[in-house]
Amino acid sequence: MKFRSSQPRRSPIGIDAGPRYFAAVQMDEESPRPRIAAALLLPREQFSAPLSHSEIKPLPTILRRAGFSGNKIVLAAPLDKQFGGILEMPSSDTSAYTQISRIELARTNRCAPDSLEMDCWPVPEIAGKSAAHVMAVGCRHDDASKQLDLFESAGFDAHALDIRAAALSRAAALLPPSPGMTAILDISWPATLLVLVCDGDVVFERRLADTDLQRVHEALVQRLHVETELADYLLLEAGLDAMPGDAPAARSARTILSGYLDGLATELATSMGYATEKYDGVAIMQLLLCGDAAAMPGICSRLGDRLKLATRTISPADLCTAAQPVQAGQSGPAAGNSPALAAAMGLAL
Amino acid sequence: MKRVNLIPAPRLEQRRCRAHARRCVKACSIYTLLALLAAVGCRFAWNDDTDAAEQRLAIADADVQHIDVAIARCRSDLNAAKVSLAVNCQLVSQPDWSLLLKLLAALNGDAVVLKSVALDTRAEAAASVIPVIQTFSSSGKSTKPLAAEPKRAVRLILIGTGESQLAVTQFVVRLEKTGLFDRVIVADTGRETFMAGSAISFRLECILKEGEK
Repeated sequence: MKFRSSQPRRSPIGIDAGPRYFAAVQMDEESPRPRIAAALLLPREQFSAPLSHSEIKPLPTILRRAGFSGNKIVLAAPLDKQFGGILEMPSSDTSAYTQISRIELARTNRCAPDSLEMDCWPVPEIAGKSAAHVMAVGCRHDDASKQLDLFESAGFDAHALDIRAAALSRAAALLPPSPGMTAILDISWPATLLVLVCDGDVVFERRLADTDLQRVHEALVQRLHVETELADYLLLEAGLDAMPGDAPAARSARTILSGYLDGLATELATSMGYATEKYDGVAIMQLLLCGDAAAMPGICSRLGDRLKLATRTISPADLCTAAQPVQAGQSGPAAGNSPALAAAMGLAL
Repeated sequence: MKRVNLIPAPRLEQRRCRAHARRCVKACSIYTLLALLAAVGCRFAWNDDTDAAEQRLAIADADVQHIDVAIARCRSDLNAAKVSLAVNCQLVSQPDWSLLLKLLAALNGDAVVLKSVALDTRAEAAASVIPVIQTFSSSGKSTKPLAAEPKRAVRLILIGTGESQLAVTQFVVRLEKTGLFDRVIVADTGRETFMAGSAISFRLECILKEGEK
């Protein structure tokens, strides 16, 4: 005889605390196919302000009202506190990789090996090098504890502190598999992150310089002399396609956005060219866009044309069937279709 | 798919310890609760037997009290009996002098009249009575004579009058023949007037044998 709980089995809540939104997703684990149980995109009280206890304290109640259950969460390590890279292993002994990587990360970040937490995994063979390589990521205990303390003091039980790149790779793995490498571009307010995934593993990760949304947003506000809300609309909802005509304001906005996307495409081409050369013979077959700006109209076609790559936006609605209509914050985009939830969804998986 | 967890290991260890402690506290609480419930259940289940035991205990207490009272009474009776026994023993240890008087009355006959019968328990002078005994050891050396202890002999002093000297002497002989006395000494005799004629007055000292008392 089997006893079943009245509450359906749910995954931990994936929480992606960005500078503008709290993105949260919880998956239904009873469904044979990936299914979203609850999702929420909650605007923060103060944009770009550091996270505080007073801001996180009401979060459990808000999440419960939005249909989430349980207090187990998975967080993403702050991008600016996370470090890592591809390390060459002097030994062929795979059991020593973790220890060697830890010491190397501690050396390059000038801290004691036991004062950081890290993980590593092997990457495909690198061109011209016979030695094994691993992708290593780490975070100092102090930095991790600060983030965890904030959420645990509000009543959450932090199940894991993952990295954003691994979360995005898990979300992307819901799509049909493709040969070669898959590039994931996460365009968010503080930074733009390029992640290359091969066979489900992250093999390359890079923060692209000067390509964050914050910079474009400030340029729109300053050059067009518009309100913040209007700049948000132009950047996230209007985009390139919704600004036809020769009006000076439209022309200026189009110029700013085109310049931003061209710069982004240039940076992407450089980074992807480097990665393709590094992993000789493994081509990048598709580009997946996610993050706050991935819903911008025209961004897919623009980047796809420039990079000559199959480009698509990934959102929870694309990745799986939503179990119920997702809740959206008052000023946020429609959360169900928002690519800003991709990282949170990956954390919940 | 790779899953990374950068939660610091010491934090995870602390969390594991806290969870373990919580589980232990829960288990102990459940055990205590079950034990309490079992105790309460037993209390209710065997309540009647407890009452019966209490009654038996009360009866036993009353019995013990009765027995204590009886023992106290027996103890006082025993003490009285002990006192009585001690008095009786004291009395039994005294000689029965009436037997001696009856014997004297039978011995004196028709020719002797006793005026006085007295007992004297003063010690005799040892030197005058007990002779010195000299002993010789096997080496031929003589030893010191043994010093005799003074005898605490009981003397019966008889004062009376006899019809004649012969009657007095016969009375003395009869006394000696009784075997009660070590010696019968005629301490004093004399002639005296008795009714219309004369008679012989005497004073005898009879030393009783040890153990004849």
